[in-house]
Amino acid sequence: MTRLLTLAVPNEVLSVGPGEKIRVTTEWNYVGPAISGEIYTAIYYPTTLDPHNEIAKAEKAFSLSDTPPPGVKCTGFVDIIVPSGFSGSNFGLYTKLIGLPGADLFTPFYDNVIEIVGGVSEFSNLRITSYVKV
Amino acid sequence: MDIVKIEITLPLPSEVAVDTTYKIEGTAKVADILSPPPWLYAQVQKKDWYKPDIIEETIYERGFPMPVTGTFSIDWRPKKKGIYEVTIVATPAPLALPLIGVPPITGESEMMKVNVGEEQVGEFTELKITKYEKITV
Repeated sequence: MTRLLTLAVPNEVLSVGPGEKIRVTTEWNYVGPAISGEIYTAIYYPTTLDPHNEIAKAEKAFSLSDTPPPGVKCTGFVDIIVPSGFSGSNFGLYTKLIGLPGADLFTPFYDNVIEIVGGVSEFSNLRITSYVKV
Repeated sequence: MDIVKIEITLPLPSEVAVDTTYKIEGTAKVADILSPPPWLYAQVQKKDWYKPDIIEETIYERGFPMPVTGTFSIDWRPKKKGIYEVTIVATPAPLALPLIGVPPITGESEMMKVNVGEEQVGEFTELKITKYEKITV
C-alpha cells in the first residue's frame, strides 16, 4: 500500500510536484569559537558523469556564538522549490555547510528520497488537421 | 584611592584565541555618586619579556558605561599571539589613540592576565538531514 507523505525522515520517499516547496531540516553538533557559514541543500539525481547532478538548491546563512564543550545541537532549514522538467523517483537530497574555515562539510547523500510526479510536459498526437485557401 | 570604582563581572578567560572577539563586562561608578564615568577603556598591554615597560605595545579599547547603572561592555579581538595584561581604566578625558605616555587614571580594575594562542577551530559533528516536508508556497 502506498502512503502519501507530507513529512518524511531520511530514507522515506516524499512525493512532490513541480513548483511545490520542500523544507529540508539539517542538524549538527558544534563546539568551538563563534562562527558564521551557510547551509546549502540540494536535490540531485545520478547521471553517468555526475552521481549528484543538482537540479535545485537553496542556501541560508547561520551564525553560531562561542560554544565551549560539551557544545550545542544546532538545527537549520532551507526551502527548495521543485523545478519543472523533471520526473521520477531517483532524486536525492544532501546538505553541506559552506563558508567555514577549511573544507565544506557534507551530510550523507540520501539517494532516492524524493519522487517528482507530473514534472514533464507531454506533447502527443501532433498533426496538421486541415489546410484551406485564405 | 580610586575616584572611579570599577568591578569586572565578566572577565576575560585566561586562555583565548587570536582573531576571536571577547567581551569584558562590569560596572564603573564615580565613588559615592551614582553616575558612571564618561570615559572608560580596556588598557591592553602586550608583555614581551625582552621589552622594558616603556616600549611595550599598549592599545585602548573604549567602553561606554550605561547611565545610572554604570554597566559597561568592551569587545577585544586580539590580533597577535602573546601574553597580555588587560586592565579597565577610567580617565577624566578621552584618550587620543594611539596613546604615548601615561594617561591620568581616575580608577582601574583588577588586572587580567591573558595568554593569546592559536586561532581555535570549531568542530562540527553528526551533520545529517533529519526531515524534509512539503510546505505551502
